[in-house]
Amino acid sequence: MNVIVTDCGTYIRLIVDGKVDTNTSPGLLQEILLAFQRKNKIVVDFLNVSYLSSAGLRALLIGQKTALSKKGSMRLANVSQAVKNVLDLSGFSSILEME
Amino acid sequence: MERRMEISAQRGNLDSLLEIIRQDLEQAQCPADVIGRISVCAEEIFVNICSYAYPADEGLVWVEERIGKNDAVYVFSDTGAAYDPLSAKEPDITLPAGEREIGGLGIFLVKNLAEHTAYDRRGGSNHLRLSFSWYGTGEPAQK
Repeated sequence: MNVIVTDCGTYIRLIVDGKVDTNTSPGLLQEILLAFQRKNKIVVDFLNVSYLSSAGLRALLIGQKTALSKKGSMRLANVSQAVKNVLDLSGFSSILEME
Repeated sequence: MERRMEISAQRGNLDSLLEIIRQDLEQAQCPADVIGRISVCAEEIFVNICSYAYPADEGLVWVEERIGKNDAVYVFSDTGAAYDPLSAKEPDITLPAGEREIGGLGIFLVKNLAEHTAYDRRGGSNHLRLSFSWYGTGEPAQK
């Protein structure tokens, strides 16, 4: 998994490429938390992500809690059907903002 | 086709396990969305065993794979302490983000992504059986 960080002025966009699983999600979480140190609005772009396990959900939940604590926002973009299925099953579709 | 794998219970082996499973399922013309479901389940169970089955030292995980024309069965076994992951308390997925507990979703996903799950303790080993099925090529999967 690779994450490209783009400063879009009012927010930071993290473009994620690859699987978000047990081994890679700590890297995603680190990028999310680093982004929140710079701005309180981030977009996590899953354009090139077709696989998400519970480890990835954990990273997203910590990201969402961080957004709440900073009175900011974390939005998910370009979610594939496979990833959306996991988000729906876990109830994450109702707690995460999606573009 | 049938395959029996013996793997060290280390997270570093996850990618290899998932790659073997993916290749076997693709060869059987299993639909991509079902391969995704099976992969998530395999990851959750394998990592669960790596995390909890052998706290004191290293151990092994055995994975039996049986793939039919439109179905697949996976049995994960370990010789760790008796533990039925299916009996774990289910997370409340209706809570808002601020009240959600971090973690506890892996087994919940498995129970919802697999069509059947069953735990068995036999001969000093834990056995967790997961089964999946799908319609023929070109038709939507069942789940």
